[in-house]
Amino acid sequence: MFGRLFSRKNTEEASFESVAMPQADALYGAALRMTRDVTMAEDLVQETLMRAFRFWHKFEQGTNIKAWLLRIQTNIFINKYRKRQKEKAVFDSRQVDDLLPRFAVEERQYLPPETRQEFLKHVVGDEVIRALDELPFEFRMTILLADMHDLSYKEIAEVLDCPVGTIMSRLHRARKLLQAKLFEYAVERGIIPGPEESEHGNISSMDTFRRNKQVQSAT
Amino acid sequence: MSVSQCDDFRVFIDPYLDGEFEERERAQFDAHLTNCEDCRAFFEQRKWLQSAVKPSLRQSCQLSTHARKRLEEKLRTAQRPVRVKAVASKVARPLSAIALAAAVFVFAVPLTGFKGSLTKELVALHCRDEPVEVPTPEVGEVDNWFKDKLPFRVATPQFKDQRVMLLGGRLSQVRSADQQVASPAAATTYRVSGHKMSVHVFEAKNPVGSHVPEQVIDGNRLRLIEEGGYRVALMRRGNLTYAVTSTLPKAEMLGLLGTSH
Repeated sequence: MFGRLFSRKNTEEASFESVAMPQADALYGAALRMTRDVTMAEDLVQETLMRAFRFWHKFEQGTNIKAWLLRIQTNIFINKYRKRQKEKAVFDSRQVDDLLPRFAVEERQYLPPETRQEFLKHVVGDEVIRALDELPFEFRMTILLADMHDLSYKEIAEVLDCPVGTIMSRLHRARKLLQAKLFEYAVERGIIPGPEESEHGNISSMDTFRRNKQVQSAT
Repeated sequence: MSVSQCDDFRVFIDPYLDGEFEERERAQFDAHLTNCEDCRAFFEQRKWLQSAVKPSLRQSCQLSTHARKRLEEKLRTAQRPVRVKAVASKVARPLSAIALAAAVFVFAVPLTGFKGSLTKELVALHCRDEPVEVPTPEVGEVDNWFKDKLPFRVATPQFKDQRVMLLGGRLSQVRSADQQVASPAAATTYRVSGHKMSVHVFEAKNPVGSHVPEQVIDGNRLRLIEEGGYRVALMRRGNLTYAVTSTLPKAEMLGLLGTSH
């Protein structure tokens, strides 16, 4: 009987080794975007896997291991690291609301196929990570979980502990912001014309922006 | 949901792109796309941008060899006690009659008013290896859990030494030499380089372990008692006694307690 118990424990250890441990690099990739710091990211991954090991009996075999581990990692990050860390992002969600109307111009901007190659060459690459890192935490996380780790909306909702509807609207706004940032870089590099030169230039004028802000604060 | 409006289509473009809709709902979007040139151009650009951005987001990151080794080492030490425990229970099984006799001794003797040694009891509690009731490495969570469950306020000890890992806490009972009945205690369990370490916090009117001289380690006053291969360190904070029990070597244990607060 005890022989059996002993070997069951070994099997559990073996399955942690073969199921959870191969996710270490993926967790690290996510931790880097969460903390934006190499040392902190390494510590976060270590803590995540140590906790996962202790609660391995709670993992439902056959469910998404990556989602389970990312949930642990996100909880540790929010409870421990985020408090210590000063957010580098300059936005809070209110500022995001203010900025979205301005970004709507870029979002609707059409990139002709010949510009797309230029855009790919000069904007997409490291700039994507830079743009992502500048997003507020909640927005960064939804993009990270959806586009880096291919989780479904339901899985993202479980990781971030909020309703699927919230995830949907957050992801919509997050992608809009990310794309707007990339368009901004493209304007800086002269690949596409700036908003003031575009046919919808007046939409992003400072007056419109201030007017929008007044309307928002009045409501 | 109606997708006759372009705005509706654009609001739901993300779940549409991500394949979140059911087939029937998807068909409505497909139909709108076929009929609306503007939305088609909008969708096509979003799809292109999304596919252009994804590879950059998915750049593979590798945990450094150093970090990986550190992690594997930590996991190894976390695994070891499990194996030891399994072997121990294997050995202990045939001796269940003796264990039963020991249990009768532990539980029946206090009823007769026998004042056993406190350190022996602390070692027995340490060896009983009862599961933690609040499994968390967060000191704050353990403190909160103890709140309202004990007649005194517990500040779970923290150690600056990075090797000390809090496993969690549980309610326990300790009967100190000057008491006829057991008093409630907060028990917390830690893991230190493969050793288990228990801390029991309880109220005691008179200082316990006073037959052993007091030592001062980095400003912490404590009494260290050797008890059958175990070391029990007793510290006093006001009315509360903190008892740390472990098989850690003496020098290591003292070094560790020096970093506690």
